[in-house]
Amino acid sequence: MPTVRLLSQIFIACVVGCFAFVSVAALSNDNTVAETISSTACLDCHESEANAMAGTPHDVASKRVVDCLSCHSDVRPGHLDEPEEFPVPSLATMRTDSLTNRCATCHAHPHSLNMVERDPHEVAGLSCAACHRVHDNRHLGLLQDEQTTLCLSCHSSYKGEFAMPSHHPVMEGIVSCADCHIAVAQSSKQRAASGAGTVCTTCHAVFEGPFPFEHQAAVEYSTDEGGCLNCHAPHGSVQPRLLKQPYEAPAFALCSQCHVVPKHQFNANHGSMWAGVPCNQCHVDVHGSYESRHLLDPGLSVQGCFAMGCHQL
Amino acid sequence: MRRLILLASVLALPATATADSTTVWDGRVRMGGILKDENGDRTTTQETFNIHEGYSLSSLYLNGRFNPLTHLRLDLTDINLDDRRGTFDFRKTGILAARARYDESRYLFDPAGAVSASRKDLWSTVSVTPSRWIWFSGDYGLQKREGDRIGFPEGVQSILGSAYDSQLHRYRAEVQARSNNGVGGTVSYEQVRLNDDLDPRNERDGHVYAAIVRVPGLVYDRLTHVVRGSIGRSELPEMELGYDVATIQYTGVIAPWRSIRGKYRFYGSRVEDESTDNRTDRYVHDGDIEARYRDALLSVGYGWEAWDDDRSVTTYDNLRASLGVGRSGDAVSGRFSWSTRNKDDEEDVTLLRDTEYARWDGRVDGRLPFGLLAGARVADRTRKMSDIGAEASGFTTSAYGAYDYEHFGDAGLISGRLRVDYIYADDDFDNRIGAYHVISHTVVSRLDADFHEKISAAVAVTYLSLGEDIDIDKSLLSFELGYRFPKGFSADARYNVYNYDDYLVTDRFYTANVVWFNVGYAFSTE
Repeated sequence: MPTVRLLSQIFIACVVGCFAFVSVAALSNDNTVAETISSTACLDCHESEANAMAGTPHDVASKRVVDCLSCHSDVRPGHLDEPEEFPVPSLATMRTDSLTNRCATCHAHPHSLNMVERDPHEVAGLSCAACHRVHDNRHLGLLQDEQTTLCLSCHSSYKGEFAMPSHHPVMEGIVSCADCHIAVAQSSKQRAASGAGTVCTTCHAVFEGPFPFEHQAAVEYSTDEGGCLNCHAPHGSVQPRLLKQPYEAPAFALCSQCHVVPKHQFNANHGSMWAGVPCNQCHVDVHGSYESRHLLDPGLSVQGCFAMGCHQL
Repeated sequence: MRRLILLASVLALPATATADSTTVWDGRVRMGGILKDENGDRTTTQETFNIHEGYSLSSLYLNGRFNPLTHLRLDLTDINLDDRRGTFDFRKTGILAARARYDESRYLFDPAGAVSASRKDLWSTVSVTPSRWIWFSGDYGLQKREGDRIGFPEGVQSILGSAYDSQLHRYRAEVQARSNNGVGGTVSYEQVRLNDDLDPRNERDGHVYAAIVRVPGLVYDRLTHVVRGSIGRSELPEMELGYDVATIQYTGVIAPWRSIRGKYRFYGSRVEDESTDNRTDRYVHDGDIEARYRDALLSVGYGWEAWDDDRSVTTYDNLRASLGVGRSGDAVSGRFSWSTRNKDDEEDVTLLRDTEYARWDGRVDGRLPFGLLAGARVADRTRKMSDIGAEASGFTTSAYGAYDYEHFGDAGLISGRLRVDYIYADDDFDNRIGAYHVISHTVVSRLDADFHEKISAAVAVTYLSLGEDIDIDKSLLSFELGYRFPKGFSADARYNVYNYDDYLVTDRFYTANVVWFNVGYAFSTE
């Protein structure tokens, strides 16, 4: 706790200092090109572009938030008189990181900053313009298409996983790709130290923990590589409840990828009563338990299982 | 849903009061019904969980522009059925934006469909921009789960019990400041509260303070720093347990020349967990170098990571490389990437000990003659836990083709689009005991066609075949037909056939025939 308190104080000091810096930087900002050319001058020739953006947050005609120069900041003044000699560089063909930086000037939220820090799209050479279209667009978020259609147009192999008998209902329109994948990026790893579990518990909050008795396989900040995806396939699976492997006799494949307990599975001492029953018949709280170090069903104590012998606690 | 409509009404009234001659309304309404006939195990086909038989107000869409700066949009679907959903947007450009979304769905737990749980999601956000330098935003989300459930496998009682009755509240407030030269920062606060009316032990609180600062260097586009940090706590009030999290992250990007870029990241976190009385520290140092030549991009990176708690220390080495050629939309473009991540359990005390991950994937996309688009992807991944004798591997290959057709005839335009995707996947698990192997073939295809701006038709097929340790076939066949009458009226119908057959498990089959039919009216005052 003292460590966290110290970190808290450092954190707050950093925030105050950084905002002071940002404020000074904002006040000292100048944009000489913007003073030279206004949106009004642009719209004399590019009227159709203004109409296409009317009603969107980039409504340049309104000049409330942005004008043309906010994005096309590298227009040279000579463009007004000699547009062919001084063409406007296209943002769509701009280098990925350059365009990301340009967009992040205003869109300083985690999603755009992930593109600067680490994002598979950015590493693959895809910029903001690969998914978003600023001009002539009525889709939510200025996406180029409806979100699921857009994502699956490139990531088409996931159509197979979403067709599986158990799947997140993306094709049904109940869950969208961004519900998980915007949140899974670096910025949202604030609650847990890392990993996809932070995203999963956004909806499945009951599994977030901490539990008095944790299952290490489910704990994101475990040194034993915990996380929801050890057992669950996030897009779709042939097994129920998005499980990666069967949870059934004879091998209980899901559990036996990590566990093998001598004289436990296939134990003749249990006789036919326990032969072939699923692991979670006894280890009921596989996500974490309020009761038992071994995640066992408290009801077993009534049967005397914990009183003596192998299961004595 | 009632809250969504109430919010829409409250915001629409002042907006309409400011309406003038520039006000434009457009929208559409569709109403009709759904017929559903199903046999077999309802749990096998999730696609039909949220199709409810009956008459329906299928769609209500309204878009208003009251002056050049004020906009309102309402989009409701199936509002009289139990799969109702809707979105609402209100925006005064550059000043205020409000958005809300509501969604209702259910999950079936038994073959007869008698045991089910419903989920209702409401999400809303408001952002205010008093000047271009500062931006305030706030979100509220509510997720309600109600109903009954059955544990898996059947007969097992889990921590969730046999029913749901919970509400998950999520609040977030954020302030952003920014300047024209790219300097910016964000401070946010998020709180989460889970109420469980059936088991108070599940109730939990969480809150996080976070900040991000972005500082481009003196030479714009050449040097950028991003620093972010957060502190948070999550706790179970009933159990008097919790954990504290603190994170700090730095990213520096340097691009001395247009063709070369370097990137360094540091990530550090500390989790203090009262349930295990354990403190876990994590440190990551990560670097990448990218080189560009025309439309080719080569990237090479290395990362070192350590996890350290009071019990054990594990370290990771992460190597990665990728090569991309061409851009999306070029005649040919492709990309190949490869990465490994190896864990070293320094004291050999974790259950899994050392592990090795490796993956590679490649894809190629191209524009072929006659307007044909085609592409293919291959991906392979393995995870080896040699010390405990377990290994998992997966191989996926997929291919697609798409074709757009347009022809102007005497009666007008005939256009169409065909897309076919094929996916092959092979997942193989060698466990400590036994093994599990599944191979799947999936075909997803859709043909859309429009005739003379009046008739639209579509046919879609999804076929899935699963083999090896299981033997399942699943398919969906869909036919759609629509006709646009004069003056904005229209009629449309859709017929879907669902099939599921498990050839190894008795009585695990499903067939459903579903028909949607609607009449519609579209209008615009423009």
